[in-house]
Amino acid sequence: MSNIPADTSIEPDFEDYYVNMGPQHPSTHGVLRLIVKLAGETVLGVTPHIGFVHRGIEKMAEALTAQQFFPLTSRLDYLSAHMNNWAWAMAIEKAAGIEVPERAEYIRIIMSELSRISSHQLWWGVFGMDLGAFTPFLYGFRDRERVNDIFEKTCGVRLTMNYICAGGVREDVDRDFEKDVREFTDYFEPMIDEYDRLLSGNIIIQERTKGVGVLDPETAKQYGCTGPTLRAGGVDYDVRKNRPYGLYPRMDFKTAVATEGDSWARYVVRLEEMRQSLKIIRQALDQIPAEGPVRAKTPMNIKIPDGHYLSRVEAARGEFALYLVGNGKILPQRVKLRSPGFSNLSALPETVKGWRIADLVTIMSTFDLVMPDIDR
Amino acid sequence: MTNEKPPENQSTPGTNADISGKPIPTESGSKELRPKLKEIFGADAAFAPESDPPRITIKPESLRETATRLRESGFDYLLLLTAVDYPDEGKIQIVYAITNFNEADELTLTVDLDRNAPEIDTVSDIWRTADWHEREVFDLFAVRFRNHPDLRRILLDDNWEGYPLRKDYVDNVHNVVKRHG
Repeated sequence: MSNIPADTSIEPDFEDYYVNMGPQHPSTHGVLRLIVKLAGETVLGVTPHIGFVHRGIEKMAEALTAQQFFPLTSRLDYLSAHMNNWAWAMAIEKAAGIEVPERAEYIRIIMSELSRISSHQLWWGVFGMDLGAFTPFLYGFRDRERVNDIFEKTCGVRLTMNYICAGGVREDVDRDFEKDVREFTDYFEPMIDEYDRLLSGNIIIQERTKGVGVLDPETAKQYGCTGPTLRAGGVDYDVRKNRPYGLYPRMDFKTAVATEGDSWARYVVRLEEMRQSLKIIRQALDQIPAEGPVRAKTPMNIKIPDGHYLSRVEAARGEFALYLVGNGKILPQRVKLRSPGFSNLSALPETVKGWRIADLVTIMSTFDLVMPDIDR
Repeated sequence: MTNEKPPENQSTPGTNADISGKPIPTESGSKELRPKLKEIFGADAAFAPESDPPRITIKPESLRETATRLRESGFDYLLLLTAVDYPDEGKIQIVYAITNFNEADELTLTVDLDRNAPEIDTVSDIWRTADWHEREVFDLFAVRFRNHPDLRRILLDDNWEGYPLRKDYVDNVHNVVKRHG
């Protein structure tokens, strides 16, 4: 039975051996290489090797102006493109003292929550597939398509949006935007219940996730884990609540928290987050001013004053923070991108110790790693 | 879109409350942060006046002591650890952004190191997340972290030449150089 952690001490007649998992393993969702030390099927230790898609984005930032850097922030965690754009916009706005119009703030919230939903939809489908169920993948992608269509109508692209910009958003939303988003929320809310019926109640899923890969809250905090990975262990930490940005203080929602800290808890937290995101989107649509400017006037090349600026947002995988050091010129002195996946992955070796190699796939799937975000 | 007026946004610092009644943190975290920092760093703690969150520069020798005291007084979340290269001043500045999982307090510590032989104590036993972050700084800036359990390259190849995030790094193959202004 897989949900009883095997004893890590090995019998002398066992010979432990090493298996290379990745960089081209389907369950690593990108190019992550894990060196797995095994005794039979039991994982004794894991050493992650990252950097296969390291593009030196932080170095490139030093040669790009504020406006030019936006497209690269979309290419970190491509499933949280809006949130990453927002973090960069917020850092620039903080540095240059730019006020964002109210309507733009609401559009930012709606877009961010939509991309949180689309990210979790993809995760949910892929999670099912990692555990051998193919149908959820089709369901997840079918519904994600609707979100992508909404993005495409307004932003012109479906993945690397580059829509949120310094001083607001690039342009006003499509004229059908409100209708489309309302239709989507009405369509998707009952669909989450269907997700529950399809996958959550499945005995195999429950057996393979409940009690598997427990990440206790203290360890999670030590490793700087954030997002659903942390909240599954009972730590009520969400940047939208703990350090609210934009107009999140006006939104009435709960952070999704579980207590067990196992793979099942991480699964439940993400499903609940989709429900809360729908709630936020509805409120934002009710409150948004019917018209008004969506972008403050900003100079073509924004000078970044001398100083250090920190901006923090809640991306789909956890806290994305951006540290900007300016020197009074157009080009920044330094840009540091703190990606949630980097810290979450560093807690993986601790979590998988003693579990079977099949559980490693489950745990990795519920950590929801996106490699371009980790490698930068 | 409906014309319903959104709730008034009060912006008086320290008095905000969101719908659930939880006070909204103001700019530099909770109001008690600065007195708390005075207690940790002593009355003559040097705050960078323009910065939010408060930025404090300390000496490399006192890093471990300061970090331990911060950790004990509730700063249990090392948000990020990075470095900034200043070739003209001959220094590399290590930045620690430290915050808290319960409250909104946040601050940054900076430590200036000699650019030619940057070396500093590890904090990976105080916040374990520093382990990978320090490896990254080692990888890209060639800063040595004393007593680090596993100091090796993390993002780049083991046999990569040079330290890309240093300002004087030249790579004509991978680096597309653009100049503005």
